[in-house]
Parts: sequence; C-alpha cells; structure tokens
Amino acid sequence: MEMTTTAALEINKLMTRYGVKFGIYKNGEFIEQLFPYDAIPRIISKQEFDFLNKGLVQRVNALNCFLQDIYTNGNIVIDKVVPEEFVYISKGYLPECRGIVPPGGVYSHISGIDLVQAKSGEWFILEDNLRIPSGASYPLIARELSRIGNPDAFSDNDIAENRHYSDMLSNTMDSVNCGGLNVILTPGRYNAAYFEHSYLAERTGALLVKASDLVVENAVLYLENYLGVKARVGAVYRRMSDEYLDPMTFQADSLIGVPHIMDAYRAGNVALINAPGNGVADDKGIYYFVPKMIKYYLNEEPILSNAPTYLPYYEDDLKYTLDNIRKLVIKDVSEAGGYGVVFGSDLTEERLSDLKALIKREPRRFISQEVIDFIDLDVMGEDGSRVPRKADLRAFVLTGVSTRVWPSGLTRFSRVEGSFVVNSSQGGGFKDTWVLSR
Amino acid sequence: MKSVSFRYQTELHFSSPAAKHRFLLKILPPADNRQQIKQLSWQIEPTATVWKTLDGFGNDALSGYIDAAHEYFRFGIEGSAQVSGEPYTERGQHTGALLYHTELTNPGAAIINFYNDAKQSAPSGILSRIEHFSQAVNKCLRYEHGATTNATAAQEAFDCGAGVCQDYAHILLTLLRLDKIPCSYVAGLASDYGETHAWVEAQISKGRFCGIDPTRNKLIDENYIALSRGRDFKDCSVERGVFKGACRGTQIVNLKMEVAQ
Repeated sequence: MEMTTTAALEINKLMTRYGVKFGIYKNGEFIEQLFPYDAIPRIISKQEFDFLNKGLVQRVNALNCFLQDIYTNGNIVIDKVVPEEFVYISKGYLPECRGIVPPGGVYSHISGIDLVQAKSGEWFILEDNLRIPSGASYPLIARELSRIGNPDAFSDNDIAENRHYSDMLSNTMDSVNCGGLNVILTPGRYNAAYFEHSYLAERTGALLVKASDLVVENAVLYLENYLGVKARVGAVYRRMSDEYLDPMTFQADSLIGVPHIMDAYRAGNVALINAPGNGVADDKGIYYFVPKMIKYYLNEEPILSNAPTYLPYYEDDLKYTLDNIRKLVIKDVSEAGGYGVVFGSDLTEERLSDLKALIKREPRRFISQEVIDFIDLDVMGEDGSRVPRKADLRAFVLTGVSTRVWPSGLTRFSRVEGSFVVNSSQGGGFKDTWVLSR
Repeated sequence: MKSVSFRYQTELHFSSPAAKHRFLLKILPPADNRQQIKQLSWQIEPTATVWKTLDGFGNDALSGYIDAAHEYFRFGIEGSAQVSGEPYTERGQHTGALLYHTELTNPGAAIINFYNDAKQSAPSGILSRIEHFSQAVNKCLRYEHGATTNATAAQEAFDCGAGVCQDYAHILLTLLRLDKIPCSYVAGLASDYGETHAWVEAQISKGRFCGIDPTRNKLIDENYIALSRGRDFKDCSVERGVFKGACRGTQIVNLKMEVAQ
C-alpha cells in the first residue's frame, strides 16, 4: 500500500503522458486538464459491496422498466405514481423517441449511479446518470499503472479484479447488437471525455468512429471507408448528447451527428447505447420517484435509500423547504455537473430570500435535500501528509442480458477542505476503488 | 365526405451546387377517419435514394439522400382523398406532451395576461371555448408575410402583433395549453392558400380532436388536408436537410387543391 502511495506522483506523470485528461469549456474556451489522481484507494468490503450490488441492480432494473413504460404506454403516469408534468416537462423527455422499444428492451446499458456513505455507515443514492455517464476509464488506467508499479499490492490484498470492465462492455454491446460491427461514436478530440472514448475503443475492440465515417441507407447504418466500401454497424456506443445525435430528428444544425441514425434505430436495425431519451429518468425531479418505481415495477422494497428529498411541487414539501432552507441543499433540476447546487447555509439573508421567491414561483424547477454529512476519505496532501476530504462513489452498472455491477468504481473527492462538491468539472480528483474479494 | 384532389410541390434552387445532401420530408398525408387517402404518389428530383420512416408523433416521412452535386432539389406529392366536412379526428387516447409548452409555445407575461383576459369571457363548453380562444388569437394578430420567421416563438409573434399561419397556430396552442386543453400543431394543405398551411387540433373528449384554423378563424372542413402533427412547428417541418456546399437556397412552392362540388 505504502509503495502504491509513494508512486502517486509517478502515476500522475504517466497519466499525463498517456493523455488521461478531461476537458472543460470555460467562457467559450476548451481547456484540457489532468484529472488529479490520489493513490490512497477507497476500500469497500465484500459484504458491503454485495449489499450495494443488490441495491444497484434493483434500482437500474426499475429505471429501465420506467423508461420502457414512459416511451410506450405511460402506465406509471396513468396510475398517478409519477405526476405527468414531471415527465413531459423534463428536458430529458424526447417525444421523438415515443414508441421505440430498443433491442433487448434495454434503455440504460451503462448506468453511472452516484452514492455517498454517511458517517453512520449508511449509503445513499445521490444521483442516477443514465445518458452517457463517463468515468470508468480513469480508475481502470490508474489500476493498470499502479499494478505495474506495485503488483504485490494486488496479489497480497484480495482485491477483486476490475480489468474485465472492457469485457463487460463488449458483452453489453454484443447482447444488443443487431448484426454488424460495434463502434464507439465520438464527437472528436475536443470532447471533454475523448480520452475515455479512445481508451474504451482500444480495450473493447470496438471501432472508434466519427459521424463522418457513418452513413444510413434504407434505415441501415454503415461504416463507410475512404474507398466507399460499406460495412454494417449493429451497435453504437455513442458518446454524444441526444440533441446532437441526428440533425434529422433533433437539433437541425448539429454537424457532429449522423443524419438518419434515428431511422435505423427506430427500425430496429441498430442499437444505440445508451438509448436517446434516457434523460427523463435521471432528471433530479424524477429521482424523488425512483423508490416508488421500484415498488411499482418490481413489487420490492428499495434496498438502497435516496437522500431525504423534498419536492416543492408538493405543498407540504414547499413549506418544509421554505421553513428549513438554511439547513438544506437546493438543486436546480435542469442543471448537471455540480452546477445549480446551492447550500442554504452558504447564502446571505438577501440571497436566501431571492431563492425562496424563485422556488415559490417555479416549484417544479427545484428539489431540496437534507445535507448528508458524508464521510471523508484520506487524501495525500501536497506535503505528502494525509488529509481528510469529502468523497463520493460512482458505481457503473451494465445491463445487457442481465444487469451487473462493476466491482470497482470511480471515487471522486473534493480537493477543498470541507467542501461537498466532488465533480471533476469543479476541480475534484479521483481514487481507485478496491472492492475486496473476501 | 367530398372528393379532393391535391398537388403540392416545393423547389429549392442552390446558388452553387450542393452535395452529400441528406433530407427528411414530412409530406405524406395520414389516413384517418377525417381524410381517406385514395391515391398518393410522391416525386423527388434529382434521383435520390429514399426510404419511408416514421417519427415519434406517428407521422410517416420520407428519408433519403443525394450524394452527387446538384443545383436544385424538387419534391412533392400528388393524389386524391375523400375528406369529411366535419373537423373531428379520432386519434387514440395518449396525449402525453401535448398539454405542455415547448420552446415555441412558452408564454411570457404578455400572453399570460392576454389569456387571463380572454378566459374571463370564455364559455364553459369545450368546443365553444376552443372557438373563443381561436377568435381571440385571430383578432390579436395581423396577417403579414415576413414579419416573423419559422423560428419565431408565440410570445415574439404576439409582441410583434403580426405573423403568418404558423404564428397564429403557436399562439392558439399557448392559450389552449394554459387552459389545460391538450392540443397539437398541424401542418397541411388548405385550398386557396398557395403554400403549406398550419392549424391546430384540440382534444374535445378522450381521443377525439377538433381541427380549428385561427388564421381564418373557423373550424376545418373538406378544404383542409393534414400532412403531419406535433407539438409545434419544429415537429412538423415539411423539409429538413443537411448538405455540403457554400450555397444559399431560394424556394418556390406550388400548391393546387381542388374540392369537387
């Protein structure tokens, strides 16, 4: 373990060398930066992981049921378990996808579920990411480099193997492939997660392609080479947002999408991973209803809890939110990546009163949550000493023929003492996550 | 029911050749209880690879591409139908997103005030209520080509006080949605209009919709043939396309529609 930690500097250097970076756009400028790696791993016991595994599989299965229901019959809305407006006003709901049941009935093939562990030891789900959750490649390559530097740490410590993520991903693509190649569709090197796109393509054997490599003819998707020779594509792990995917269906001025890819998808000739329109299920407003979905679709009690959440849309919750705003965290449901998150305790009286007025005016736009005092993990400080920092866990759950949780994950930590914001776009770092095998 | 023949064609001329042209055309009139399509053919020039597809709103569409460089793009339909003089369409019970505003129908304070005023004198019966709002829209806007574009939202057209059929339809959709009446935008053909037209269908009972034209302030009849339906103009755009080439396009539309007396 100590050898691993002393190697941190070297591993960060190697990751820079391999281009393990992420990019952010700030004031219209693309800035690529290192995702700082901390070599002290998060350790999760086998027993704890088994529990998380059950809860995550249950949650993702329910979310897949929800997506199929919303884009077909809408029974959960008809039965008034989820209010209609939470679905149809959501930016993530795409009526263009109505009626499409994707290959295998799977909508969320790769789900990134964000959890935190409270100081009491209890785990809470903070957020579901069902669109194109990124991050698996970072702990994968960090583990790979650590293993080279210190192989004994892994053989001596009964750590669950995590190198099979690429096999899990390939199997997922194969399980929904409609006949043809597996490809990873990237917008290109100016995308925030381009490193991940190229790394996963290399590891899974899928071809890394851009929109200009793909053509649709008679509702079938082909990869076309420079000689005009076409090879059919059966599954696309697309790493671009829904709105840019097909200018014939979504944003008409998208230059990075594949015209008519939605025709091929609707006709059942290609699988899109993840399905377009999944944003309706990971909307922060819909999050509130996930435990109800588990009961509704699976007739089971939720194994993992949501953070205590209030919907100002409901009168009682509005009153509670306004009366207790100082101790709550308020989230704008239309924002992501750590944006639109405000802690009541950080606000001046004037800003609190403005926020209250805004919540009253647009109650559907916000959720409020109790602040979970989640655990600090040790992180190596600049002087080499250990310092405690808030950390969460993004678990990766893959659904193909069945739903499986990757026995690892992306542990993100805040680099600012006392801060709860761990997002990479806000300057956070990451750790490897060791799941013990016994 | 009356026999109606129709012929619609649009021509795009490019200032310099366009290539790698991909397009989507929503020009195929659906068959339903109000309009029974007896004959239908479509034409696309220059020669294109074309296939039929369906969108999320249940509209049939033509997808296709032309790789070779071309200076014009012509598409159209020709056919005949039996069309009812009654404005009602049976459309199934799922209204989903039809009750909620889109970017193009989102109301600002001025439309909300206008709605609140119009609501004061609105009758309670659903059909007369829809007609009441249609009349209010008809009065608040002046028909004027060029006052708006196809990207103009309801609130902007309302502020401008002028617009075309698309703007009349968007404002009526806004009012009806404020009034909690599910409704859709309809793009179609109307006799004596000379180009594609737009109107509104509003739900009057479960699965039953009534077509109303706020531009002409009347319920639709056999002079109207629907081509597509959606939440707003964006869902029903007759033509969408991308191509390579530094060119600008000019458009000529021809429409002929005859109702047998």
